[in-house]
Amino acid sequence: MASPAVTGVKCGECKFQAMKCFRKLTPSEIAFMRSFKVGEAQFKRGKDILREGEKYPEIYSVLSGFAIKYKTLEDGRRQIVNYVFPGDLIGLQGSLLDKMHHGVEALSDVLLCKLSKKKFWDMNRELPELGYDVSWLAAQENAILAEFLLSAGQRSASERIAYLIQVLFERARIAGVLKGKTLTMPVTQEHFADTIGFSLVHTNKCIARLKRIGVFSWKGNELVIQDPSKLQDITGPITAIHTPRPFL
Amino acid sequence: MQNAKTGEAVFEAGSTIMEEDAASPFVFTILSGWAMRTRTLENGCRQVLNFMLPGDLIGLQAATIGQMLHSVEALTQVTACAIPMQNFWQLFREQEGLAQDVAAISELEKATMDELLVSSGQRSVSERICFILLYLFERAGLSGLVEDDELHLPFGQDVLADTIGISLVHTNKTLSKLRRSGLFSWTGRSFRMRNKAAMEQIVGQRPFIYAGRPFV
Repeated sequence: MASPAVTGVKCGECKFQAMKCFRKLTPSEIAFMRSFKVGEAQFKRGKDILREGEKYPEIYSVLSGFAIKYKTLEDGRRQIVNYVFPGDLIGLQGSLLDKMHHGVEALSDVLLCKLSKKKFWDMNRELPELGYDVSWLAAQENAILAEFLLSAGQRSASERIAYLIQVLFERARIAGVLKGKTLTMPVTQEHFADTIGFSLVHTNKCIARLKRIGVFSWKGNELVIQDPSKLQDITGPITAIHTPRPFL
Repeated sequence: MQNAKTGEAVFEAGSTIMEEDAASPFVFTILSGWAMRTRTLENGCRQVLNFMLPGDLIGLQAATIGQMLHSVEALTQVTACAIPMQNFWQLFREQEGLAQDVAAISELEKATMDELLVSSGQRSVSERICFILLYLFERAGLSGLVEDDELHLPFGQDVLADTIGISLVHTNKTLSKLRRSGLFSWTGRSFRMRNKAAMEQIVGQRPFIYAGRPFV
């Protein structure tokens, strides 16, 4: 479970304020965020952040780290439905709907801001721009889900992998966690298989082939896109991801 | 809300309600009829992303991100309540609870897409077909479109194939097999549920339908 460790990031000094791909909060929005934020929570790599089927008293904004959103079938099959990056909002279903309809698991150590569910109402009333931002983020995620559905329904395994890599890099770039051309992310080929909906063996083979033809390299936790144009040739450019993006 | 809508829009079956990459001057709430959201690849392959029924909201991407990232096509004649984009934003500021409702609608839609992604990624062809038909049966039922276990499904097997991501031939074969085993009948545009429990058993769960869904 979450440890109560709090680094005490002050909303006015939040790193996202200074990042070029994020919409800056206004002074009155920052003032509101100070009361909206009720604490921080830290999760170790591999831990469940949110469980499918449960309700939560808070909404969470990711300060640092990566996570996966997934759904499981009764017989244990798992589908990763999306990846979570710094700046993303998670847990809305657990407070707006009846319960969480997917789980969220920490891929790396994750630090979250806890936002009061009760204050979410006040936010929509007092600062409708922030309410709009929540819908913006939902619309963006909806677009990414649409792309994953398009991939799963219409693309070959190699095309799905190529698309996934582009999405991960683009989202990492926006979140400010891409170092040069390198994405350091503890994602495995098993995660890839569970995202694209192919067996691990087939996924391994396709990844090996894409590596061999010089599209990207993958050693340990480090992914590097070596030939962006080749990657784009395979799937076309990413059109679903937009900036400047909001954050809470 | 009364002041915000300028009127009702009518779209004929087969017409495009919103186009991918385009902005939209309106947000629509469907009053009657069926529509579908689609994304098409350069090579022409089409993926049906979801179906939209009365109460569903069209154009949230245009309202927030500024452009549509998918198309919306009318499957039947669709009447919709047209809210000018400007007024929609105004409503967000003025109408208490609207932002909350829109957020809930967005989460519902994401939850449905998650389930369709689970289908495409993990389920067999039979499981996918049973899932989507169960889902549509329940969702349409919520809009009062099911009578005596019968539902007018306003699309053919090609649309079903593009939803589950399987070739038309394979979809047809599996559909025949499922029909023969007495789960449902589907002739022309008429769908009749015959053994819902068996369908649920094949899928392994009930599709997520939220009865308390808000509408705008």
